[in-house]
Amino acid sequence: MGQRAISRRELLRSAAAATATVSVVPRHVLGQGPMPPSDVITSANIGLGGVAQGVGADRVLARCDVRKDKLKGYPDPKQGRYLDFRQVLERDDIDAISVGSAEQWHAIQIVAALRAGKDVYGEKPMSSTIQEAAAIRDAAKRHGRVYQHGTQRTSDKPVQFARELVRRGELGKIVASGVGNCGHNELAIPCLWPAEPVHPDMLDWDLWLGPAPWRPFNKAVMHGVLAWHQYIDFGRNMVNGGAVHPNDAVRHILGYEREGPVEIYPPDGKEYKSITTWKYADGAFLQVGFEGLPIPEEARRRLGGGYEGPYLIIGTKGKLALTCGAFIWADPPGLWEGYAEFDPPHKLGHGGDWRTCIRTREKPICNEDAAYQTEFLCHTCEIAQRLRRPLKWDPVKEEFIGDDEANRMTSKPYRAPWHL
Amino acid sequence: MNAIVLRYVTSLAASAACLCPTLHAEEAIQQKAGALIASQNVPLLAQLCEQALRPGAEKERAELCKALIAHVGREDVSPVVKGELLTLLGRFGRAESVDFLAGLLPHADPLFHTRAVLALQHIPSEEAAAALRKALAAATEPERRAALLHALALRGDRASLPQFLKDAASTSDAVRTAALLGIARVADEPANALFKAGMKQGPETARREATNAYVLHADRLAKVGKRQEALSIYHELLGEGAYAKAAALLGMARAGGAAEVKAILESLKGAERSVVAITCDIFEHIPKSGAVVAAVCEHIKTAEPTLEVRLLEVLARHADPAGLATVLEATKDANPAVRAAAVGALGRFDDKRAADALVAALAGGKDTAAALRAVEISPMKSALADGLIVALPDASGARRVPLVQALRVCPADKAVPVLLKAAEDADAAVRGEAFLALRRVGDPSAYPRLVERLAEEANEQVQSVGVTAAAALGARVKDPSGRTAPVVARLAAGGGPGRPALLVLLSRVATEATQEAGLKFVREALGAQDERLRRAAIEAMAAWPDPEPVMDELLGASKKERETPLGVLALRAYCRQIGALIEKRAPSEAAHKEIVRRCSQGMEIAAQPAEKIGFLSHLGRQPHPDALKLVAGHLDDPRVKKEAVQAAWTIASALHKTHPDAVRPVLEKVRAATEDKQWKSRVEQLLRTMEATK
Repeated sequence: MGQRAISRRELLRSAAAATATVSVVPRHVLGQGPMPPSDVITSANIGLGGVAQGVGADRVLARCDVRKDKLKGYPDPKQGRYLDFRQVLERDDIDAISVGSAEQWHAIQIVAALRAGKDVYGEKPMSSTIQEAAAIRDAAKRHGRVYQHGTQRTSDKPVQFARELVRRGELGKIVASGVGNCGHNELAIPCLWPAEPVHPDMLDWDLWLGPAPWRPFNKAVMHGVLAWHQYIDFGRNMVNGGAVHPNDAVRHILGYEREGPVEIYPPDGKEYKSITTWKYADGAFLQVGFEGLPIPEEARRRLGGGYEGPYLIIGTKGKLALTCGAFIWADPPGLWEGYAEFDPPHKLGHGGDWRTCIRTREKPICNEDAAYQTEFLCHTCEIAQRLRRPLKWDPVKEEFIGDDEANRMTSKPYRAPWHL
Repeated sequence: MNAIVLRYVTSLAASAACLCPTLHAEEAIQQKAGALIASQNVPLLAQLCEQALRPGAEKERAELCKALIAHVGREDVSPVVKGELLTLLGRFGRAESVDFLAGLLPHADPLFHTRAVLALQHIPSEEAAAALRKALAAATEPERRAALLHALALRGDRASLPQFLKDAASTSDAVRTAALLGIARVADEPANALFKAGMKQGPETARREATNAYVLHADRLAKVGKRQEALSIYHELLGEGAYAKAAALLGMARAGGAAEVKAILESLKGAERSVVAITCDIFEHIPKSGAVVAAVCEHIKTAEPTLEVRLLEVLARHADPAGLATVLEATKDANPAVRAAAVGALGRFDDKRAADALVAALAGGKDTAAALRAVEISPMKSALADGLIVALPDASGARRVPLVQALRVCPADKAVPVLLKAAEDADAAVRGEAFLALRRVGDPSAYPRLVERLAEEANEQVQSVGVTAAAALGARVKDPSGRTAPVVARLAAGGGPGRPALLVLLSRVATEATQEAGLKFVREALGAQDERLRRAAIEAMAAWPDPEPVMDELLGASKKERETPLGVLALRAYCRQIGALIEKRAPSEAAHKEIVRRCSQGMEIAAQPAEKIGFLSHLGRQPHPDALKLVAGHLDDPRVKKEAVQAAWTIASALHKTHPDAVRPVLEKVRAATEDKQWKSRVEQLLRTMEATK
């Protein structure tokens, strides 16, 4: 293990320092020359089918997928092509990892990469249980890594501007909020596809399954995120895969980065009509949809649902409705004055924000704390719907209060040798 | 739709009765489960199990699990369904399911034995752990042993500790790794030698697992009160690479607190950048005390800049007056990053010296970005305001800008009078910042003076900022007529060079109820000689709170100034107000007809595709034959064809049942016009549907 004491970048930096007087000339002296090797952030992609494939650092040195057809060539470490992600994590010359594999793998690969000292961009949804989300949060902190959750929507300017309005108190104390339905009520189901023969040149099926329960191969399961995420062995369907987008944006606007809800209500047909209502310790609540929230009918008609919101924030001084791309309605009407001049704190896009933070070691917009809180909303939305009863959460012990069955749903078993 | 989903959907209705909570007898449960399994409706079966988790339904849950067990043994159930039944046992089973699952552990088919292991891993009953231990005692094959050890480790099974300790010395990498994980999760006594041996054995993957398990082991020891034992492990791990070092330092802080501060600071010296970056996180775990502040202040003198920046953040979070002198000293540092961190840290101190230093930084024009961030969070807002007010008159042009910016977070009673004066400054940049600051800190009482000031503003850029500020303040005036009255009064009195800005402001603050008084000024301006006034009138009409009184004027202006920029602006404003009209009116025959008429008038003038597209978009929202006819006329125009197809399709979808004769020829035209296969297919589908329902 002693061989791992210094990473490639650190080694290059110390070597450069030792010979600084003769070989290193600052870039600003040379003008826009090539980036010195010690400044280049290298990365690898684990999972080559999804959007995270497009997320990389300055140089992408390796690509990994259990599907040989996705690798575009036979596995060959010399060419930077891998089937097994663990081999990628062993490379000291790789600083950062983008995880965009199938969902049953996300948390395990993200945690493993963080433990291996890599900064990580984790495609959403990053977890399928509360325990997984917490493990990612804790691993990023434990190992001091830069983690960005690939939910995207918080990087949009209107969302960051709305956050700024709330932060500055322009809406007063937030008392209620709503988020558009984005499949919040679509829960994962068992997978019943029959066995099919697998072509050995296509993939390592056992490695594709990874921590998931073993089942025979069927290509239908692998047809992209919208195929596997509907089965409970592999994903959590839209309640997490889709709803995570607007949940993340509304959580960010409300400013809950380290605080989560303490009470969760499924619909009871009386007081709680929404798919889920979350109550926070400060008394504010968030609900799916906008029914019953005090806004004019004309404004309510303009609020739909989907990946981009909308979000409705109600404070003691003002109310604001927006999507990721535009403001819809405000009371008082001048609330979004100043939007044009607003300079968002995270303006380089989601991937750009991650890359910048790898250099500055600051926290990205969807860092590990924020990511945990967002996925907590998704998981509790699912558990409350499955159990059809209100839940109370102890944020210190991180467990449901007096509900063994709900607590059982906060984790899942893993096939050996995989674990968080 | 695939076959399984189809089967699920079709059997859903037939099986819906199964969710009826009134049938709880054992036999009924068996029947329900049997029927669902026979129809392969496992999703609904899972829902039935979930429903049996309600309080007081324990017997029902156990009966359901027995039914699942019975069906796993049946010949007529497919293997895939059996696998899912085992998973349901893992999700919902308890003691009643254990013996059956244990019986499957030696099964040759991985579908059964791996799912049985997972189910026993997840069932909370102690019987499940006992079954895994029993199977482990009998297992000889390394792969099976590793899987069982792994399941027991993830269960956190303390009774397995002797076996974990024994297997941690195994020559099998898989067995050893699983056993070390088990020790890390349950052992309350140090087992350092086993982990150290593991960290030197096997491939890199196994060695890394051993290192991570060692961190976990130390964390657990610290948690159960064996802090010294944990600390000795953390100290060992400091030499194991940046990732282990970061974890070790955090562990040292948690387990050792203030006693470890010196060791932590020494380890941070020359540490990797990624480790230095978590300095604040490390200190978050150490209780705040004067001794910690003193140690940090001492260490900061010899720290390199990257660490110095982080240690300044630590001092900021402590906000201990004893640390202020060090922070103030650092504000004079030659390194800009250190200086910025120090200035930023000043915002945390509840001390007049910090406020004075912030004002000095702002007045000096150095590190102003950091100073402004600090001002935002400073608890010394009143002292800051006093300092800024004193500094402002002495500052030269550009130096006044940050001082004015800082006033935006100061108490309104002190800041507003100064800002109103600054809004008259000779320097346009200062005036602009003053308006922006007033937007944030201003109260309704400042609104009339702000309107007056805006009326005198000649600079167009500052006017634009001023309108924003005045609109924001106007929105805080409770009485709607109080928002328009000062603007109307000033316009009546002549307006001044800022008259165009006042017209735009009117549109932002007027409501339907208060619009009348200002409308005449906007109409007058539309006919003025001065182009700036005409432009402002069009801008005001574009955002006017009620579309109806301004639409005809906008259409007239777009005709009059045809093919000039103002004409285009007027036409776009007209199009925008048609959108507002659609929002305002409830859908009706008359409303649709009026929108179609207005769109038709606009399209006659529109020369550019951009404008035509806007009107087509509105037409698409009008389910009316006239709209369809108008849209159809644009299907041949290649510049707007895409939008015309979209609009025609939307209208046709809404009208195909009520107006098939009007819809059919248009759909045929769409089919011929579009090259897009998806559109063609959609259109053909709709035509077929219409044909079938003829």
